[in-house]
Order: sequence, then C-alpha cells, then structure tokens
Amino acid sequence: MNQPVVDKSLLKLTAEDRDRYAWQLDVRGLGESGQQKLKQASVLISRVGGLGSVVAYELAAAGVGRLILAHAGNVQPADLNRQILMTDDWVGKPRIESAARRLREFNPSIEIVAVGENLSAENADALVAQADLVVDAAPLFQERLAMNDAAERQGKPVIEAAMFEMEASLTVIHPPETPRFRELVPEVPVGWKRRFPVLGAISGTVACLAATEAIKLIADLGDPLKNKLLRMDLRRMEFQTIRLR
Amino acid sequence: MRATFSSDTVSLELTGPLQRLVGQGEVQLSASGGRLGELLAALVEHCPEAQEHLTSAAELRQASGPLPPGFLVVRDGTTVPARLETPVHPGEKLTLLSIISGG
Repeated sequence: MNQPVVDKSLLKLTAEDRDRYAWQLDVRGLGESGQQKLKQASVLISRVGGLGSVVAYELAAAGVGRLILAHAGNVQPADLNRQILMTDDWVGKPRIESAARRLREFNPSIEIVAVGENLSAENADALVAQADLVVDAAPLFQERLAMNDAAERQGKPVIEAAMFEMEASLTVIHPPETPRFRELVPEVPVGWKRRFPVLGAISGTVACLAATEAIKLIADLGDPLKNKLLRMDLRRMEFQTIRLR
Repeated sequence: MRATFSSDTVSLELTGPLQRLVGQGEVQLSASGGRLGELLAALVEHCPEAQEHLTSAAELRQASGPLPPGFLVVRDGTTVPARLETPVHPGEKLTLLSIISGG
C-alpha cells in the first residue's frame, strides 16, 4: 500500500501534456501553473462506485498526476446502473481492477494506485498519508467517519460528496477552517440503512461537482465550498447553498 | 398532521430517508412547544414511522441535548444548532436536512 515518495518538482509539463490539456489551459486562473499543480497532485478516492468512478474519470481527464483508488469486492450486475468504470465482461472479478484498467486506457500518462480494500479505521491513516486531498464517495458512514478522522489528523482537505435517490450534497471539510465532519455527523445516524436508492445520473451529477471542487482546491482556483454545503434536489432541479455554522 | 399553513405552525421541510419514510416533503406542525424537540415530537406523533430516525416523542421532549445524529437544521439558508432546545417560532420555515452517504 505504501508508495515511494516522488520528487514532485520533477513532474513538469511535457509537450504531450500541453497537447492533451490544451483546451483547459485556457481556463481563466488555471493555465500552465494550475496544470502543473494538477500533475503533481495525489488524490485518494474512497470507493469508485457510482460517485467515485465519475470523480476518478474527471480527475484523470483533467490530468491529476496520481489517483489512489480504494474499493473492495467484485463487480456485481447491480453495480452496472451507475459504476461506469465497471464493465459487463468483468462481473465476478475485482472492481478495483476494472476501474484501474479503464482509467489507464483513458489516460495512460497518469499514475493509478489500485487498492482492493475499502477505507477503515485500520487503513485510513496509511491511505490518507499518500494523498494531498481526499474525495469521500463511500456508501457507509463508518468509512466516511474513519477517513475524515484520518484526514483531520493529517490536516488534509476532504471533499464530502453524497447522494440519496434524487438528492445530493457536497461540501469541503478542512478543519479548523471549516467544521469537522464529526460536527455534522458525530456517529452513524439512527435508522440508517446500507442500501440506498440510486440513479447513475444523480451520482454522476454530484461526482462532476466533486471533481470540480478537487480541481479548484489543487489548482487554487475559484472559491471552494468551505463552510457551505451545496444541497441538490434533482427531482425539482433545485440547488441551495447552505451556510454551515 | 395539518395540511395547510397557519400562523401558529412551523413549516418543516424533510429530506432524504426521512422524507421517504414520512411520505411528504413538507409538514406543518404546531409551534406551541417553542422548542425543536417539541416540534420533532409532534412529527413522530403524527407519523410514528419517523421514530426510526428520530427516536421516541418522549425522548425528543427532553429538556436539552443534541438531536439524534445525522441531521442539520436549516433556517433561512444557515444551519442552527441541531439541539432539542433550539427555539422555534410560529410562522417560520425550517429544514431538517438528513445527512446522506450514498455513493
């Protein structure tokens, strides 16, 4: 699980990078320096299911240099309504292999670290230590709590993205600048159930926004969702930004 | 549960699993207790299934303390303390925002 430390100053943009990312280099506030920061960044994504798969795809597209993916288990038929890095021919085989394979095909210039485990209190510190930023796309509150605890200990920002049926939410947790995750969710909610109703388009919507927040944080671009929670009611296509106090 | 708005009620918006359980996105509840705990106790009394996420009406009527985990309370676009003793005011609208975790 532990990776060798890379001298990030060596990760300069190449001519191929400039070709590949030419159209986004024109984004105001990004440019070559922002693209360089993306190339030098390591992002941990906790689960690459319906939400995390799209986050990973968008960050790979944007040229984030190193993606650490954590996801256990084998591809199930019921994954395929939303987990776009899984393929029908991979049912019964490890999800993490399918995700890594798809991402490497999509962007061979970035590094994919594939971890066939879910986040837990046992491995969270070691996984978070490898990343500059973490994206929480886990379905279990236990995993979210463990990852946020580790990120808080290490002073790393977490992008908290979640969905339920046709609702979604997004915020950036980075205490002490923002509330701690445990101030929002001190423990696993009463009555919470493992299975959640999900449409892939809803997962993908919040995932694209989560990837946008990751890019903004890495490239120091725009205003990240700190101390604010974006609430999305996609049944009514209503968006509300809630101030967190 | 009253279906129409009146000035002595609080309009409580529900989201996520609790909305699904109650079957309504917004309910009108008596504000006579003046505290969030009383308001949620009224919700549980009118919709006993809500107890699955909120605990019993008797516990919610306790004098003080945090709400059961997993909720933000929103007034005018800003969170307010998710505590039983948080004041509620007739005629206002609150959102009981369920923290969700699906991915």
